Amino acid sequence: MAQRGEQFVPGTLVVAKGSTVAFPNLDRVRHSIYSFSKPARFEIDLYGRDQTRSHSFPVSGSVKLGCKIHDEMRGYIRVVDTPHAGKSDANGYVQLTGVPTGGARITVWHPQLRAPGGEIGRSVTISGGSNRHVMKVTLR
Amino acid sequence: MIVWGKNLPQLRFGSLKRRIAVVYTALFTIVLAVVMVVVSANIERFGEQSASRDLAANARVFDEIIELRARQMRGSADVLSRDFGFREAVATSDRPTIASALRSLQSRSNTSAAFVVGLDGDLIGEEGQAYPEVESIWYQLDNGAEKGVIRLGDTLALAASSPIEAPDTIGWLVLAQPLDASEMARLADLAAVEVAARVAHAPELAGPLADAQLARVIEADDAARTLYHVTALPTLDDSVEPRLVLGHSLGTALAEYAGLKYLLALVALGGLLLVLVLGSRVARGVTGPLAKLDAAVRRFAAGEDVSLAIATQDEVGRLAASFNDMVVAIEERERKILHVGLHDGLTDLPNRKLFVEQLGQTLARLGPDERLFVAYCDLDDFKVVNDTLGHPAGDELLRQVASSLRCRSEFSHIARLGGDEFAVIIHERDPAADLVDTARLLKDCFDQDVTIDGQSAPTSASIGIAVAPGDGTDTTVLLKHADLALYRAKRDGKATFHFFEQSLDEQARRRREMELDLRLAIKDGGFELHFQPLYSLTHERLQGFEALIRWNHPTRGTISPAEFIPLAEETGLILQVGEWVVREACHIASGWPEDISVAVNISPKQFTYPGLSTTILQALTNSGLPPQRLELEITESVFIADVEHTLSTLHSLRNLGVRISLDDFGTGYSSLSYLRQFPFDKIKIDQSFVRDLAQQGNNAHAVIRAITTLADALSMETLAEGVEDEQQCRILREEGCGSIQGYLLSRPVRAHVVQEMLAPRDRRHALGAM
Repeated sequence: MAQRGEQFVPGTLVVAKGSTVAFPNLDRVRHSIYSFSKPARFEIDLYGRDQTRSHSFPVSGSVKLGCKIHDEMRGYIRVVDTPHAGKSDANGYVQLTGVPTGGARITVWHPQLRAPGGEIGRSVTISGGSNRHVMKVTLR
Repeated sequence: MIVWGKNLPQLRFGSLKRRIAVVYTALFTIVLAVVMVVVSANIERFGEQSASRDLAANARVFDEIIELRARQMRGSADVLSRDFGFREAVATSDRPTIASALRSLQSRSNTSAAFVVGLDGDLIGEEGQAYPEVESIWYQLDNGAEKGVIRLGDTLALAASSPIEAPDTIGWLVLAQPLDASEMARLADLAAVEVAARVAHAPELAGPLADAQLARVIEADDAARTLYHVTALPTLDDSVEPRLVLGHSLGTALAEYAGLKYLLALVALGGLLLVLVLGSRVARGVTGPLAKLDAAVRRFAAGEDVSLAIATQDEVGRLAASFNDMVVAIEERERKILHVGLHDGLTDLPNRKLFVEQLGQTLARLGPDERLFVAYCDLDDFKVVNDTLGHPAGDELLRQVASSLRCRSEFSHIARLGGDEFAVIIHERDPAADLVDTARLLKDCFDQDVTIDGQSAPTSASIGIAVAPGDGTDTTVLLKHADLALYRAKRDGKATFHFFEQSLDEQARRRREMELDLRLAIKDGGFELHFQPLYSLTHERLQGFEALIRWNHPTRGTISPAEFIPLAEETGLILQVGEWVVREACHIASGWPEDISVAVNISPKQFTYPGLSTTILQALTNSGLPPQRLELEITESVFIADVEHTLSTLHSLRNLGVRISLDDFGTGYSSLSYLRQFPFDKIKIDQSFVRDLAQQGNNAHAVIRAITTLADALSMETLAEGVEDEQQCRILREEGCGSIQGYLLSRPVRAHVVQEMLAPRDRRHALGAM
């Protein structure tokens, strides 16, 4: 999760539980990254250009990242405990592969999703082959 | 259409000045009152509109103030909400830290309440404080509302919110300041005009405010006439509908304009006073000259000679000029009227009235040894001029006489008294002067030939003269004496003058007495008829009697007709006397034998009286005397006045059947023409011819013979008057005279003697015995 042009790049990152995420500073200004989210509460002191800090996310959940000195900067890391996860494209499509057949629960999360915790879920049955599921969400 | 004079009560003013002043003032007062009403109504309306405008403007100002306050609070909130430590505290739900941070913020931002509303609906604030329900504000906050009104316990408060981001919004920091009375008063102080401001929850508004249209000025129905303006304020609390209510007392606002009204009233009062003063001055300016004119007219009416000063060129000035012209014209007319009243229109000489005045004045100024010569002048035969040449010629004659009199400077005063009578006053200052010369001079003035229409007419005058103081010093007496002298001058013959003598006065007095007595005699029957026999020589018998009047005066005895008949003729009493004679004669004669007739003298005056025939007819009828026994004796003078009339009267008398004889034949004018014009029954030869018969050597015989021959030729009888002796009788018989009358036969005798004479034994004998 780099910082470039006073933005987190990419803004949203899906990682597996236990992963370590690097925060390279590609800007000329310094950043100080923090998170008050329950899965990962941490603060990284100011660090300059071309420096990198990293943080591990051992707990699954949503982590909202901010910069102490740049209030406008928003970054989101979804720590998942399943291999079947992905980030949707600009059109909202995401394709998950290798999902075993049988019962499953689909969870859609979005930072601005109007729902408790910013996510909605649905129990589905996965059949062989390609399955298509459409979930309607409301954003703030 | 309104008729001014009809519909308005008729006010009565003693003077035009007061009327103008009152009407002017009344009109101005009405105009002023209308202006006052209109202006003060407009002031009120202006005041109301102004107050409304002020209130509306204030409402906008107030919105700004509240907005400003909210922004200020927001700014304070923002400072804290951006603080990382605070964000961390909120994110980690560190309540004690949050509470302490909020306290610190409260004191820093000078607000009453500060609290945090979490995104999860958690409200963190100080213990014991009143806070709004989270449900009612959370959605507003979540919708991004930044400021608005919230409910803090019982009070409404202005609140500002600031999101707490970590980095996404995790809650909101809310700062609130209760909008209580003291806070509102503090805000109201910032407004331009005095307003009462409060914020209320809409449903809690009462009265007219409950359903008041927003952002409109409404007027409350209270004593102070408060204007209200209600606006909606932004809200942060769904349970609150905040309304900003601004009140502004219209009464107070208008009170400022009341002063203006008083000023206006003061100006109006001043104007009214000014109009009163100016109005009365204008009225005086208008009525002053009129009052002068009024006074002048009164003075003029009282007979004073007045003239107005012309001060201006306007209507009043022209009126004054016209008045002056009128005064002059009236005076001129008065002078003319006076002149006409005192002058004779024909000759422009003074008339009798003025003459008497002038005589009085001259008499009053008469000095000692001075004499006043007063003459009455009467033109002779003026009537002839009038009758023969016409009245215009007569007038011309009078004018010429007047102008010739005017030429003489010796005459102090000249007057025409009327008709052909003039009067002259000569003031003689020389005591030695002979007044007869003066009289001659005056007479010569009249004795001139006057040429009228190319014809020369001789004039002359009879003049009566009285001289003051000898003949009297009193106007009346002098004039009477001059008149008597004139009377005498006329009797003396024409073209002469006569001075007054005392005897004239005596004669006049006697004449007057006699006239009175004559009237009495007519009334009381003081006359008697005497009869003189007429003897026919032809038939040698008594033919009849001539009736002769006698007047038995109670004190003077019997008076001869020669004395009183002229007076009776002058006074017109002859008509009554003559009528009496005819009646009496007929009455007496009716008792005589049938062959005896009676002769009655008819005066020329009686001939001019139209009732003569009737009188005679009545006398005949009443007495029963046959007409042929009545003989009327007339003289030639009856022909002088009007021949035609006389002839017609004679014919009408003749038609009655009476006989008519011509008396005093031979003494008058050319009698022959009359004889030709009227066939008289008898000619009476005047006694002057008979008297001459006794004298030798004259041609009386021839005259008598000529008359008798003429009468015979005309088939008229003849009678000789005044026969006194046998010789005359003999000659008359020889010359062919038919009858005689005279003392030879008998004097006139009374009626009873006639009866004796007519005793049937022998008439001839009876006469012969006398």
